[in-house]
Parts: sequence; C-alpha cells; structure tokens
Amino acid sequence: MSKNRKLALIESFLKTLDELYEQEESAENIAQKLEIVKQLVKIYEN
Amino acid sequence: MKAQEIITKIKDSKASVEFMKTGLSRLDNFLDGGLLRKELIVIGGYTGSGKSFMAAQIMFSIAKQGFKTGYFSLEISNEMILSRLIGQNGNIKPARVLSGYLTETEHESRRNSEAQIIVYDGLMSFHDDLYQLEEIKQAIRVNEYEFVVVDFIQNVMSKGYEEYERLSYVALELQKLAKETNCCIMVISQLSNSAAKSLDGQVEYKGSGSIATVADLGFYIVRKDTPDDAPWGQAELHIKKNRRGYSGNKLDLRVTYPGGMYVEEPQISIN
Repeated sequence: MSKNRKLALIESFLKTLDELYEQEESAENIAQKLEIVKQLVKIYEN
Repeated sequence: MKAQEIITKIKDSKASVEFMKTGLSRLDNFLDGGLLRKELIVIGGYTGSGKSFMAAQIMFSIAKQGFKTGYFSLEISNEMILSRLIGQNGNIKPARVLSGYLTETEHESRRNSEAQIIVYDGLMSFHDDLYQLEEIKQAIRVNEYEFVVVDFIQNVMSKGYEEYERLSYVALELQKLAKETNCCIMVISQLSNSAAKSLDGQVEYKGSGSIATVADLGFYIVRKDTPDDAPWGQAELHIKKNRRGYSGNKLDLRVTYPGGMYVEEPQISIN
C-alpha cells in the first residue's frame, strides 16, 4: 500500500475515532473504537 | 494535444497509477491489479442476480484501501444498502439486520460487522436522494470521490425523451466525468430481456447499446440454480467488454448464505 493511501486511511480513522468519542459509550461504540485501533496498529506494523 | 505532450503525460502518470482491488483476487489478477481511475465500469444482471451486492462489496474493498468512495442508490434506501453490507460482512440475512430480529449469535456478528464498517466511515458515503444526472455529477465533483457506484443507470434522470437517447447521453456523460474527476465510476445496469429471448443469446445492457460502447470494462452476473439446502449459491461473472485486453471470459463465484458475499470458487480460475 502506498504512503498516500496509508495517510488517507490514518486521517479517516482518526476523524472517525474523534466522532466516536463524542458519542455515548455503549457496547457498539466500544467495539467500533477498538476496531479502529486494531486497524491503526495494522497500518503501523506494515 | 500533441503526441509529445501525451507521451510525457503517460510517463508522469506511470508512477502514480494506483490499482483499486476488487477483493476478488482472480479478477484483480486478470485486470493486472484491479480497477483504475478514469474508467467507466458496467456491471449488468437480471433482477435478483446480486448486482448491488457485488457493487457494494467492491466499494467496501476499495474504501479499505484508503480510497474515498460514494454509493448513489437510485433504487433502494441507504438503510437497505448498509444492511446488506453489514449482512454480507457478518454473514447475516440483510432483512434480519434491517428488522433487528436477531438471535444472540447474529447480534454479536452484527456488532462486529458494524464495527468493521464504521472504521471506514470517513471513506464511504451513501446517497439515496439524487436522481438527476447533474446532481450526481455535482456530488462526485464536490466530494472528490475516487470510486463511485451508480445503482442503477436506467433510473438516472436526464434530458432525452426516448430511453435510448437518454441512456446514451448518461453513459457518455459519466465516461467524461470519470476522466475529468480522475474517478473510477461503476454503473449498474439491467440486462435487456429481449436479448435473453433472442436466438443467439447475446447479452446486452438494457436500453442502449452505447452503455457497452463507452464502458472500459463491462461485466454481467449470472446466478446459477442451486438446491435449497445448498450451503452456498453459485454465480458467474462474465467479462463482456475489456478495453485493456481480451473479453469473453468468466469467473466462477460462490455466494455465501445467508449474507450474500461473493467469494471465488476455490479451485476454478478464469477461463
């Protein structure tokens, strides 16, 4: 994956993560935040 | 434009060519890496063949690669598109996702599937209220989409009283737009019923021969009959038009039950 694509993904992940933190915490909300972190780690590992 | 300028443009663009993988690896290999910007792609199929399912699946795969994507549904609602995506991803019947009547296991699958989709929320947008060609064009420009699905072309409203005239115009305008905006545009098309009844069985997109003419890549899906108790469905993705190489091939696919995700048959390659 190119650097530009990785940056696009990271930017999008962080924006969504911000939005999720604005929302009320629930099982769904936590699962979504965890999934974003998981994907962020995957990008950094690659 | 002069030849020298075009050659320079080709050399400059070479480094920035980015393939958008469909997620179907044999299809991506066949396409030398996947779909490209500035291409107009058509996916045809008869009612119930799963055209929208496949387009949404491909769009999700492309969003996961960091491309900004948009889905224009001129038929079903955004809620239905999302339910299908959640259902595909979690292997749950989409109607059950929409109704909310789920077993404990399905509920857990839905939660996981939703989380996997929400991750890419910034890279996927859904529009179910734009029917005019000019509105769709404007939304593609403003949002700077890199890949879009127009579902389906026969419902796009534009000038031209006769269906043939209107669809020819819409297809050509979308092809022009793909080049102008550097976007890959995938349109869904119904197939002509009269073609199905014709003696030669030649499959045509409904309404206008120019849909196939202007497309860079043209596909159509055929669902195969499978017994009710079969663990999965079977389908074929036929390559009708391929400006990059040869056409007339097909890819054998499985359709997962009950979610409706397309996966490649394990041992069968494009033939």
